[in-house]
Amino acid sequence: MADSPTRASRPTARPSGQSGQHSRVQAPAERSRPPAERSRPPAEWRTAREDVLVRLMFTPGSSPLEATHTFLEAFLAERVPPAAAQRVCLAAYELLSNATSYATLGSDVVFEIVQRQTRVCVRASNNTIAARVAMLQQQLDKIRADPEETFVAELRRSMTSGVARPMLGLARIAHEVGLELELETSGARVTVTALPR
Amino acid sequence: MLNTSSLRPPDVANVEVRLSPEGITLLGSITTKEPDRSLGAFFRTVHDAALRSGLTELRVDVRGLGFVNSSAIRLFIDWAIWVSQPARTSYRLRFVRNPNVTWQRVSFPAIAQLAAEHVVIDDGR
Repeated sequence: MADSPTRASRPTARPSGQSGQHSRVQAPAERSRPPAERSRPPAEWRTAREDVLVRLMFTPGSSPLEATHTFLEAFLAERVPPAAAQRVCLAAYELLSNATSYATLGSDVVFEIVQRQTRVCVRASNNTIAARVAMLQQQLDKIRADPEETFVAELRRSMTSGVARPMLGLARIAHEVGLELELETSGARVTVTALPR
Repeated sequence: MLNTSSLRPPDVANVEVRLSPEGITLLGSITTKEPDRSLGAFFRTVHDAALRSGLTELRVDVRGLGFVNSSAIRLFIDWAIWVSQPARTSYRLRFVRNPNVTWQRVSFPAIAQLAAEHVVIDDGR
């Protein structure tokens, strides 16, 4: 881990989609709402002032997962309720695992935990190749369609596949702990954010 | 009863493995990136020992596992597959879980579906 935990504030939240393409995987509760409600502006907290609780930088291919998980468990235990800590820890592990695994060499992986009002979000960004961005978009589309079905399908694929299943981790974030997944791209830079409903 | 004399739990960061004649108990968090090399290999030796011992049931208590990564979930899937292989005279695999732990509540029903006749989910008290 290059940085020690930092606490810094940003004047405003990053405007969604301003720097590139942007999509959001909806939680089941939101998907079940009527279309008119779904298209309403995001909740106020989404564009609220953002406090960065943690910002860490890693090199691609590094193995920061165990140490980061241990640190975050201790860090969050003092700051958020246990259920929220459980959600954030899972999202943090899986997003960071994917980001460090698929980042292109020579670019930093940036991992952040941010707080908007009382809600805690997890964000990981990295540079990657276009094919990976396209695959990630496809994966998030499947999760958007049905988080539970995607989760079970990924478990089944684990039975027959000898390769790592990055999508299982994303499906866990959406299905197991009920967070939404947002994808933002800007050139080769891809950012995935897990945020509460 | 499981013969535990030849079983050596692996040294894996953040995970404690306890052996008993009924099976194994796992405590802590599985965060290692490739748990198949350590825990997975150990699970396989436990499975083989259970077969040799002619067990009818093996208990895997995961209530104390607060966190597991996706690679670790696959270990439990693998074990469910091993016990359900038709050519083997196998045993029943009883996962003792804590339904208040989210990953255990969500994952084990799906795993049990993969090997329904050989896997039991037990909401341990």
